[in-house]
Amino acid sequence: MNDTIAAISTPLGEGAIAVLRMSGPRAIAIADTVFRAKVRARELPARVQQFGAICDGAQQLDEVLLTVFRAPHSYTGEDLVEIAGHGGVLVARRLLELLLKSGARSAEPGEFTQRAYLGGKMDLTQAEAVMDLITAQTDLALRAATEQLEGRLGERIRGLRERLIELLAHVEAFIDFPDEDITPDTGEALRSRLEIIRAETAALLATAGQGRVLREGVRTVIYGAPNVGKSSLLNLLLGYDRAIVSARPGTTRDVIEEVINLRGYPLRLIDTAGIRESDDEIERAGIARTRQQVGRADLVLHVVDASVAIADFSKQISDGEKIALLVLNKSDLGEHPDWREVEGVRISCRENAGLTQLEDAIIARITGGHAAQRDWTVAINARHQACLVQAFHFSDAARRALDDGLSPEFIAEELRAALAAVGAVVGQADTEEILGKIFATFCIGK
Amino acid sequence: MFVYPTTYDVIVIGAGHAGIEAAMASARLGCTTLILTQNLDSVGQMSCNPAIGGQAKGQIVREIDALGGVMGLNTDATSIQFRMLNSTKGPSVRSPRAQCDKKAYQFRAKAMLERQEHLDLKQGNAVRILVEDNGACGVETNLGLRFNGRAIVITTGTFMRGLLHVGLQNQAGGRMGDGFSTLSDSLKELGFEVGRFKTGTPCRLHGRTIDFAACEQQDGDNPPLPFSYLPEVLIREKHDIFSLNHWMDGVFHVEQLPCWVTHTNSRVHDIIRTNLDKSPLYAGKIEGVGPRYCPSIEDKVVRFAEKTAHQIFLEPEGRHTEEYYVNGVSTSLPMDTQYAFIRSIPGLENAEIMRPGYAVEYDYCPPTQLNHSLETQRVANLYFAGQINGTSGYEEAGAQGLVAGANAALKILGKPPLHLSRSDAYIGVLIDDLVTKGTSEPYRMFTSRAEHRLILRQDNADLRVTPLAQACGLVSAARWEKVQRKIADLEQLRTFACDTRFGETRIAQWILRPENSVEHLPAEIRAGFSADRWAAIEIELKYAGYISRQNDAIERLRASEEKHIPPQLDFSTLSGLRAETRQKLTQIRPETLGQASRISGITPADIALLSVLIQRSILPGSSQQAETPQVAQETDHVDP
Repeated sequence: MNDTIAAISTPLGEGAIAVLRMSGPRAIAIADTVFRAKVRARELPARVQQFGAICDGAQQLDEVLLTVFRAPHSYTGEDLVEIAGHGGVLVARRLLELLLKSGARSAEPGEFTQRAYLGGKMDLTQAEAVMDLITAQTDLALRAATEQLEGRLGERIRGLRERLIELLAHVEAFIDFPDEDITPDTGEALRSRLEIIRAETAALLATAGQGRVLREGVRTVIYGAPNVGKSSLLNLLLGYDRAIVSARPGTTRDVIEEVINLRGYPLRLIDTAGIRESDDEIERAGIARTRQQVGRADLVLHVVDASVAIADFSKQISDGEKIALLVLNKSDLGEHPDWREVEGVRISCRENAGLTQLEDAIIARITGGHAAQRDWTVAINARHQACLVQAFHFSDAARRALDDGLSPEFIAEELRAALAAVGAVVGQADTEEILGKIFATFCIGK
Repeated sequence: MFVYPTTYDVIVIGAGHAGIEAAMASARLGCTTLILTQNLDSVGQMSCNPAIGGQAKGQIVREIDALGGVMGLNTDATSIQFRMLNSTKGPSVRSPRAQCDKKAYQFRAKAMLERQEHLDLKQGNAVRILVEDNGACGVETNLGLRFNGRAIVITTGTFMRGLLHVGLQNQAGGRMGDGFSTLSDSLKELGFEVGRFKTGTPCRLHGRTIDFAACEQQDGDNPPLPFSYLPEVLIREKHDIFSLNHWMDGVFHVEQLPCWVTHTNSRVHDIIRTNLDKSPLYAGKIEGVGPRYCPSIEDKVVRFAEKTAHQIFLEPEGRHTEEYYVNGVSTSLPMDTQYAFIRSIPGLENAEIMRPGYAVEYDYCPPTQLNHSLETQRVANLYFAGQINGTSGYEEAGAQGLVAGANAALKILGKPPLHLSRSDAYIGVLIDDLVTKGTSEPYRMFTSRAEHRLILRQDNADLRVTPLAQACGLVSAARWEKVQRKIADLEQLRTFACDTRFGETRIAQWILRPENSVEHLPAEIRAGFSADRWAAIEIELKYAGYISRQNDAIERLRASEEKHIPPQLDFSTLSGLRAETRQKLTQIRPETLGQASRISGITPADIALLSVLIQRSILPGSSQQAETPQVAQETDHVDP
């Protein structure tokens, strides 16, 4: 048990909170790499909740309450970190992906419980009860996995696995049968096999975002200063008046959410209170919620009033914010010279102008410019994604080993790791399977 | 019934490559040992190719030697050609291979057995294993002789119900010219599951009728590298007429013979194809399963029909014989077909066949009936090693023989068994695969079977396993001293390489650049340490990244490898497990959680459950509360 595992431990769905757990010797260290708060996780007293933010580099993913449990006083008997974030599958998944990227491993079904047993944290009665639970969970997970892996996605990942086995058969045959009269692929032929595998892994990884979009809709937050026309834009996109629109700044004080179908793409539109310094307590609370929403968004439509000069703060939001799309409203009033060089979509809510361009731009953003290749039947989830990221990493390493002219056993080492990562999704390949491929492909036998 | 007056500690049945290692290991541990063979003139016979080593097998021989076994040294003493395979590839996949003088090898082996203290060598045909209180206690021969023994190791090779096929003719026998054994009947009576495997061997030719000018010559390496870590003990002794090679003045002296390469052609393939109906394999006369990696020539011609030529090696069987082994044309076709196709091969147009090729079918016991010690689960103090466990190869057999013989003796001595893990040795991989997964064809080792291949190298077998053998009392003082010296030297050299500058950087840094190697270091820097020490450190430093990755993986698995499952645990009564899981666990009876996780079809969730159940079976009786678990608190959502 010397690796660190992580999982979302609340049921998936729109609960009030989502709890992630991470257990293992590096749990606290990993938490510290992503947690921004007044106190670092490693300095926190045990079992005390600390408010802070989870950040992926500069980008804040969620504001959370984080609790540290130190070995052996935890559920698993190991160092354990619990992160309570906002409900919502998307945010929870993003947090999990970040933890996996930072060095944790996706937990197997029942693995936290297993560690609890092995750590001596369970008595007989509890053991019996939790056992049933694991069995049930496993069945569920198996069923879910099977359902998901039938059809195109399963086909493609199994294809990837088969390709890796073939490639390994060539490398292993080259290693294990030096005196045989066989010609396994080496050099360029090997490289081109590897390239196909890398490309396919990358293509599967690119579907990760689409998968989320399919399940939950693209969280699209309409954001901006008061009275720039955010609610008007919501109504425009909805096609009916959902939000109260007035000339008075600060009319929208709570968050409004609506799902629309934008040329076949589900879009979860979220209208927010305008951001400004305010003495009004209710408005201030609304502004706080707006900031939360931005943190959780897939896409931010940053609306500005293009008829007036650029205000300082609106510049900041767009800077470095990849997911933001700048919407320059009120084009009917004439554009202020400040905006002339600024890239963005120019619309007029009042005159219903620029809507097509805006829709084009939104779709380009959420599909990464590949709208035509959209294939909803192929989309991977967070666990698949973590595995495939690993597979990609190792096939990359295999290519480097090949480029550096390393001996084949090192290339095989990377390929085995890649195959294990893919195998974690569609079933592990054992040596027998690779040997079987070798004997089927090459005439071995002095 | 004549009961032999000596009661032996350990009785070894069979004196092939497994039997020799088993008997020698047991006797070295001080146990009175009997080795019983049907024919004292065929001790240590190489029934197939007179070669030792090769890919992965060479590493095994190095490990056998490092454990104090005899195969490495006997090969060094009697070989006529040495080659390091894969010498252009990385250090972990280089494997030594040697062509042996068949007769010298076996006569030297017999002499060694005869001279070993505590060891009796006798001719006899074992027909029954005697069992008392569920433990093996003796052996009965076909002449009504009974040997009492405290532990028994069975190493019968292909002899149990051996059946030889040439064309549609067949005859009982474990090897052409020899008898067979009915011992598997006794094992069936004891309740063992018995299966049937098949293997084959090519014909042997008279060297004076081969046109070597039409073949390509393949020479051995110069200088030859010995298998043994203690080659210096090979000094020329007056009466040792079977040792062909010797160590003198720090040099290994070998007179090497070449091998020869030729190829089959479409005419050969046509002859084979038109005579397939006379092949016992294709006529359905053979029920045993053969190895995929060692197909007969008829199999190759059928399965790889698009191949127009297959490579053939002509290998001398010794210095004092003209017989040549025809590597690549293992066959069970009838004599007339063998004669016709052999004479269609370039260089063999006038070749005289001295012995025909043939197939042999034999009984084996699926090895999942064993524990890692190679003791059977069914009968205590009974051990199996070699082809009886479904393996093929002298090296695989010798390795099991050593482990089984040592463990039989250690058990009698009341000491813990010798256990090699998958990360210690190829032998560990071999045994774990056999007892955990079984095998569906005669099992041969490949480097790809070892997940820790990069650290299981032929150059470090002594560092890996000699300390484990030392702990059991298996190795000589000289060997132990030599390994300790190596460990100390390497430690010093490591420090030296880290502290000493060469040009801009320290040696340990400088060596990491792919274009640099120890050879490029000035002689005065290298002077303090021998070439093999430098080579070891170079591997350690150059591949440090990969090596530490494998070490990390081993470390990760350690906890579950060390989690023992109580041997008395009855898997069939474990509620909560899937029926399929229960059945597999009952059949394999894994000894650790790690082993259980390697059983095919066992899922991580099964292991999670099993770990709970083990915990329960270990905990005494009622509910014993370890400590109040800190289950995640229910917290009301506080909007931050």
